[in-house]
Amino acid sequence: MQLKQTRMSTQLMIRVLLHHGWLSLRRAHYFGRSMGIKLLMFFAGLIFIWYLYMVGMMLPGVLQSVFPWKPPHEAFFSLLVYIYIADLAMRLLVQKVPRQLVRAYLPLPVSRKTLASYILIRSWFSLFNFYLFALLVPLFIRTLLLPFSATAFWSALLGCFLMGGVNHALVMWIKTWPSGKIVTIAAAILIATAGVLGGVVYPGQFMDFSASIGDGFIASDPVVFMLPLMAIAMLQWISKKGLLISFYDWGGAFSSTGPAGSTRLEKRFAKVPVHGPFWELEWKLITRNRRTSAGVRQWPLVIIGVPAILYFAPGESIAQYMVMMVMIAGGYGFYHLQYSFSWESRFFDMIASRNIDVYTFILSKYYFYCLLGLLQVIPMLALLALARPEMVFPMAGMYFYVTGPVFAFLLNTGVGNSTRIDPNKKASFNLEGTSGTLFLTIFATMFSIIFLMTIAYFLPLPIETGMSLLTGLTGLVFIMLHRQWIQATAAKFNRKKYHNLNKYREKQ
Amino acid sequence: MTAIRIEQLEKKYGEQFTLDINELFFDAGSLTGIVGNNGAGKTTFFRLLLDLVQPTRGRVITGRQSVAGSNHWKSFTGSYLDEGFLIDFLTPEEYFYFTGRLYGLHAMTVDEKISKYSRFMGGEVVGQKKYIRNLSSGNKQKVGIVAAMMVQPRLLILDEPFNYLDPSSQIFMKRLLREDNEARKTTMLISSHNLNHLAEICTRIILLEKGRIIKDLSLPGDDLRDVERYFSMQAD
Repeated sequence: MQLKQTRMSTQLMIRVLLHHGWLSLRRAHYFGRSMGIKLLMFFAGLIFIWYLYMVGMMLPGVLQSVFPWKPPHEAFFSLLVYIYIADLAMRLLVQKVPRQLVRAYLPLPVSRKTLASYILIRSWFSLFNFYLFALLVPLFIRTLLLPFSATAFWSALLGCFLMGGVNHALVMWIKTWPSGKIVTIAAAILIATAGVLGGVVYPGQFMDFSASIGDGFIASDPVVFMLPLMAIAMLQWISKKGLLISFYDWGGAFSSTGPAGSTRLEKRFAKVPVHGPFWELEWKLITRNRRTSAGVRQWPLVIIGVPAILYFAPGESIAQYMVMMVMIAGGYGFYHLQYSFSWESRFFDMIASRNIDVYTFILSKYYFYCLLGLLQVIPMLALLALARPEMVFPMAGMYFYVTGPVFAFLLNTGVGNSTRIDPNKKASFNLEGTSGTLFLTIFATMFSIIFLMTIAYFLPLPIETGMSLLTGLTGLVFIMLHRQWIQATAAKFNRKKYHNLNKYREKQ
Repeated sequence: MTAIRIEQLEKKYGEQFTLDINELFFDAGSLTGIVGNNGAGKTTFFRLLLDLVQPTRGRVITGRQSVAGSNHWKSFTGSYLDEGFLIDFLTPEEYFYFTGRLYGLHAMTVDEKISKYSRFMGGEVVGQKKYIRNLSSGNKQKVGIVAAMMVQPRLLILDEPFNYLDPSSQIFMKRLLREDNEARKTTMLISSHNLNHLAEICTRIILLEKGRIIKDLSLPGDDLRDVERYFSMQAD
């Protein structure tokens, strides 16, 4: 039989591909979990939107107090460029190109240009292009819609969307270009330069320029819409060209990060008595998986980022402090131990059938993550001592709290985690390898800190001191008793052994 | 008639590996087996044929055009390299319908094709309400092979198709390949580590070593013991 040419038009093909993109999300491992987890995720999303909405509602008042000589909308627009520089920096770090689907389509009768168009269209369906609206809508309702007109309101929203669109198109270009690393470094240098110029050298000029963009939005000046539109079109066109070349990398075997083999650090780990071999293994696990190796590379940013946020964040409000503590309590443990025991899923049979003492195995794992935390928290505390000295003790207290009860809780609940992780997958949204129970544990650890804060509130001490004492002491108790709770965790691990072995095999 | 023409094809991966084929032709309707030890360049060769990697030099011509940067060859080529080329969040049926649609097959035709391969799939693939990602490695392999064969391509490229298959499925598969090749004169390129499988069905065997062709045998006729001796020597 003579084969007929593909009957699907480009448009239809893109629609089919978009449908596949939707299916891949809806059918992701993560969404296959219980209704409870789906509801929790929904509420987590709602909390995030609500948080931004509240910031948007409160912002006019804050802007009025910081810039009393300007109307709030003008004050906001004078900061617009800074906001989008920060947005660009964040996108560069976190936003991903939806490339995971493409490999399977490359040998099929789908034109590469269609695939490139699909990737670029699909990339627009990203939370990064919409999250700011949760803040902008309430802000513009209060500062533009009511005092000005509906036109000003809609124009400003459109203008902001286009500015975000330029960032989006820039990030897509950088991340799809064949020599992406060089372009990323160049972009990072450019952003840092823009930040320094705008924040330190010429802040007045930058703010005036930024405000004039806002004026253009309110006046519906076509120039302020046409320029970003043209930039987006040009960047998308270049991105498409880059994608056609990048497909050769994506269609080949997965590229490794470098030559495999033990590094000097790993060899040093291995020499540590008792725990060495396990530390070496744990280090290899976190640095040789695409997903967590990206996390390891973000360490320096976290070390600098937390003191920087606390330094630049205005005021010393309890809300800001509370949010930071809640994020650390839930996030830090999640960051390190969300995959606890799902790593081993890939060689669980080996662990189960060798002469490995489970207690020592978990103890080594615990010490390893305590050590990593310490390596992170010491420079962070040093920077905090310079930036916000009053936050040093609360942060040290949080370190004890996270490495004490939070780690204990995560390791104990993680024992039942039979979710097999794919070391090649990297997408940040795909939480494969994290069980529903672990996810609930994260929420529990986040809310536990609110409970401690409530107690601290009633203590006859400043809340920072009270919190430092409560978190630090709770953490120290758990750290001192770590052998006891690790023994209990090891016993649970042994009880669950056959169950997990079966589960892993089912998922093979 | 020549189905594939290779001209001075070279692919370098750093200093370590080079695939270097000066000139090679595959006749239309031939069934060629590519053998070689690990790292011989079989998969790289297939990736070059499917325009999945860019050659350092040279070109692959099918249908009178170079495959590089073009799409013309896709409408008459069926292939399966590894499970990374499956759309794993679809069910096997969805994947078959989608692939069939891309090649201009109606759903009813796809159903007919699936029923033709039902014995090969052994009742463990279709109708299981499982996503491809949740199938066993052997069943994933079957999905990929069936999807590549059911569209009745003029050119079929299969990389290690016997891997993960049970002995019955391997026998069945050899029968399917031979029948298809004889009935429709499909040009087939199949790689395998197992020389016996290829010797049973192929009309030509090419032995690769470190990216170079070191033996090119026609069957029946040439002495296959040369290739066996080669592998024995490598083991010694």
